[in-house]
Amino acid sequence: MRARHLLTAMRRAAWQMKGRLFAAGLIMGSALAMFVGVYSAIDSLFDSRARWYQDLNVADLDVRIVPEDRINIPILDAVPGVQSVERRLMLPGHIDTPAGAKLYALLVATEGMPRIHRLRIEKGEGFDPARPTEVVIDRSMALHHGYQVGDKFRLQVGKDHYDLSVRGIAMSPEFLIDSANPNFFLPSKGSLGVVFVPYALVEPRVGYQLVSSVLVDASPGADPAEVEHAALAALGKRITVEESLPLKRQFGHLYLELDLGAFKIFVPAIVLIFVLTALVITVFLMFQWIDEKKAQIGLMMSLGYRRRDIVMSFATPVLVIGLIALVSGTLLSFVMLYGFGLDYAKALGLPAPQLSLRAAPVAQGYLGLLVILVTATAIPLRSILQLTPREAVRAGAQDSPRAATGAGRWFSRLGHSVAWRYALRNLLRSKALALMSVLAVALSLGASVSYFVSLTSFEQSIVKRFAADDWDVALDFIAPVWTDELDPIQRTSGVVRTDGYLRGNIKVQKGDKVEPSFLLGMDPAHPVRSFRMVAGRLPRSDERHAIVLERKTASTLGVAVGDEVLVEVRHKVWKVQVVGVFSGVLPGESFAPLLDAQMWFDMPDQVTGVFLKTDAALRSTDTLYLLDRVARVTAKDKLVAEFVHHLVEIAGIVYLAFGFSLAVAVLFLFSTTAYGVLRRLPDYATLRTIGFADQTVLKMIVMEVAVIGLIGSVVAVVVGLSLSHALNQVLSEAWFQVDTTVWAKDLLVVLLPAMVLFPLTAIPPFNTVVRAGMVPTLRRRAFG
Amino acid sequence: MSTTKPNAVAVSGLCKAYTQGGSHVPVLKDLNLGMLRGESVAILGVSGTGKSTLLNILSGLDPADRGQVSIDGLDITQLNPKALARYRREKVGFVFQFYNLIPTLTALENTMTGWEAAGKPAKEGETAARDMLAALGLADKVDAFPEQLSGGEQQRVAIARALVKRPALVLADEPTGNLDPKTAEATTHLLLDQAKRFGSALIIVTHNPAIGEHTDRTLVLRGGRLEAPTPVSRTLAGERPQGWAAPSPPPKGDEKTWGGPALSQEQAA
Repeated sequence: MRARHLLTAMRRAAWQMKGRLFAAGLIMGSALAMFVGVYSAIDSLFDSRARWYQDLNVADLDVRIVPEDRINIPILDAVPGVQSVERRLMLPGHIDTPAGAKLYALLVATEGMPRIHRLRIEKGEGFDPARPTEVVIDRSMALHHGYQVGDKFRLQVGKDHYDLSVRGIAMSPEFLIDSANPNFFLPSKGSLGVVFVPYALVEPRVGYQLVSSVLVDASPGADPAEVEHAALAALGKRITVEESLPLKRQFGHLYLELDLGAFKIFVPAIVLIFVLTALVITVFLMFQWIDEKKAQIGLMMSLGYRRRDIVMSFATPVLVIGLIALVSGTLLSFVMLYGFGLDYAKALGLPAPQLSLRAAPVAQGYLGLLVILVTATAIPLRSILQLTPREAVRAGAQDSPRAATGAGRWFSRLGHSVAWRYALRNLLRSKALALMSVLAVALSLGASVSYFVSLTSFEQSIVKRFAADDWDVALDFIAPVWTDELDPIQRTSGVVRTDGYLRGNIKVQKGDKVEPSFLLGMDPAHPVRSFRMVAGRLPRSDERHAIVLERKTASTLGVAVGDEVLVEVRHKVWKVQVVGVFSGVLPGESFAPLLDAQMWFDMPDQVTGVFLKTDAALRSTDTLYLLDRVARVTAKDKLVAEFVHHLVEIAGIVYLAFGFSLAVAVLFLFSTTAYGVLRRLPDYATLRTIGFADQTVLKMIVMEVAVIGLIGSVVAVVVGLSLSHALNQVLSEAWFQVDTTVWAKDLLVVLLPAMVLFPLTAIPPFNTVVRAGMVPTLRRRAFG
Repeated sequence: MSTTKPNAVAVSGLCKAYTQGGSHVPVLKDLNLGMLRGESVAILGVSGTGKSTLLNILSGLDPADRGQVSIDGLDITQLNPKALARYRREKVGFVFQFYNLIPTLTALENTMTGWEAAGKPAKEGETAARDMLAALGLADKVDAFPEQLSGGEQQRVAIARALVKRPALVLADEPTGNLDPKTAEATTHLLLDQAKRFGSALIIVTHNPAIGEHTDRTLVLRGGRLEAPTPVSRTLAGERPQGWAAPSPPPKGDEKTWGGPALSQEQAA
């Protein structure tokens, strides 16, 4: 082979810089892992959900109706697109848990074990209608409240109660994620106890088969929207539909879509930063190497080696970097996959997902790696092609730095210590190296800062919204109550004020576009809920037929403030003016004056729930379950605390990503410090020879690292805040308005570990200085 | 015989060998050397005779295999690496052939490294360094970086760096090897004058016999020992150290080898 010895020389040279090659490979590997691991985890989570849906025959539509005798429910099986139907009764209640708390519960009664929204029995067995008090409970109730097969408990439904025992523990596709109250659209692990019972349990007490929910399983290929339309039409006007819930609007489904969607917003930005860092590092590493080898390149050219051969010989380290990136990236992808997937599932209380690396992100990641490698090496290698032997030799000989000028000169004269000046001067004389290092540190740490700031912004946007709400407890009733029935609640010890509300599902229409919406009717004179208005205003207290829409609903319908829309409620249509648009966590929520809502729902003087303002006299919100007709008690502080706890668990993912980013910054600093120190080995040898203690030499190297680390950290804060702000903007567009909130702890959690780790990167290069020895280093230009 | 000047260098029975390709190669064999403070010695020798090894041992960079090396009363063969670093920063000044200035430091700062390395206060160091540079004719170059200085100027900065801390011993390795003859002579004079001014013993290792004409003594390193060139033209007959015996007689069988001035047993002890 023509250039065999050239290749051998380059291979040996690559071995000499193995530390730097390894660092560059690991950085690229981290970028690959972040991309492949996180996207595979997200895909795996969605696929796991799809598998659960398929295995357990998830309902395509859940029509909630005002409870009605089964015999009055129209048969839907013949409706086009409907494959099968399940009728069931859902009753809210509560359970006194072994821990002494009251758990909001949902009784779900079916004829036999459900055929739609099937249950996967994890322990014990399914219920037997012949033994109706032996029931199946949802896995979440068992997991978070300690119920086991054989345990006994009492389910209180209104004034009635059932003494039951656990026959089986099951997973339901309907309750993958618990929510204390879906009206507030926040997950809350263990906040819901679902009890699956046979009709045989409730029928004797009611006297007939009461139905409150009709599940529809659509035929394969049927259009869900058409099936919904046909099913609702078939139910006719005799049945009062309270809510029509296609799968895509079901809480667990929708929350997962939006929440994982938020991660999908973050991941590309994070990956982009990793890719940029990897690109910068590889380009720089190759330039460093070519610079070091210029004299050798000149020699090779003089000896007659073709430029092409020389360029090809530089492919050795590129291949090494690629190989290290490929192997480390693939291995680290599993860390990200399991780290992200399991942590996310745990944080949300999902069943264990099936996690695996996905072909698409793996292929895209590998292709991206190849592109980065080729791009990162093509630019520096091009410089070899343009180099003449004379230039190369001269460049190798002229390695002395120029004097600093202007501000740099002033900066470099700071301090009395020559050691300090030496460290500063080195940075100024190797501006490109220092700038690259600062950039890499800033990008890596900036990405981490943005993760934490965005997480806090997300959390605080919700927490602040709740803090602005003027209520402490929300009570939902089993059935609508007359407003004068609120008096006993108002007289309850600890209750300071009551504000009744009416919730219900409506359809908002503009032209040929129709959007479902979840209406909250409250007194505009005292709207205890706070709304983040993005346009218009809240309705005035004397205003009628006014509505405030959630931003996405308004956007989908194409309506603006001042437009008229049609509101369809229970087969009646009302012409209503849009007076405001707000950004909210619950997609599709709307707000109207209580009087309007009562009129539209034909429930004058009735409310479905009440917001309470309480004081210290209310010892426990659990006591409110004892009030007549109360189905669910939602304490704001608990709701917020559980949400914050949920985010603390989600933060595990952020810490994992931070670990990767920090590793990238440390590896880069190590790589550039090693390079700089290697170039200055004779300087260090001289300083040690004239008597500088090793500690002082170490201090000089640490000073360089510290200055880069400090400047990089300052820039990282700017980068991080800017990135976080941009990401929050995107998230605001995709979900709800996220205001950037900056807490010192989010900066410190990133910067403090970095400040501890960065100086440590000076140790390996320092060891190189010591290992190189004074005599051998100086031999070339000193004694002898 | 004067007894006013204390011993700066007292080397006796110094042996050093290297293992090369499995074989034992002796470089220094029972080498003796004594010097007074303020005395200068030029050590000549062809390549490979062990000049660098001798300098490395005297500077504490290389350990001796055997023998005693006492610098300014300190037996450096007994010192650990930390103490050796302290010895170098306090008692030894170095002048290298290629100057070995730190390219990122100015002439003043380079000079101050010598002071700072010795652990002396930085503020006084600046005054001392300025004085030193002025004495070497570089008063107007204090803020120049090495690349902005000529070879002779760079070497003068190196001399300033070596002498600013007033070391007991200055080791100069081919200090003029990289300079033109005129500059070389001027630099040699400056080095000798300043070393004498501060009372530092000066050892110049060189291939250039002309340097020997300016030093107090000239020795030749040959066969692992120091010997006087023939004839011994310049010695400080009246300034031998206390206990200084007559020059060692040449070992039997090698009449040309001269071990240089040896210390007495008491002195060595």
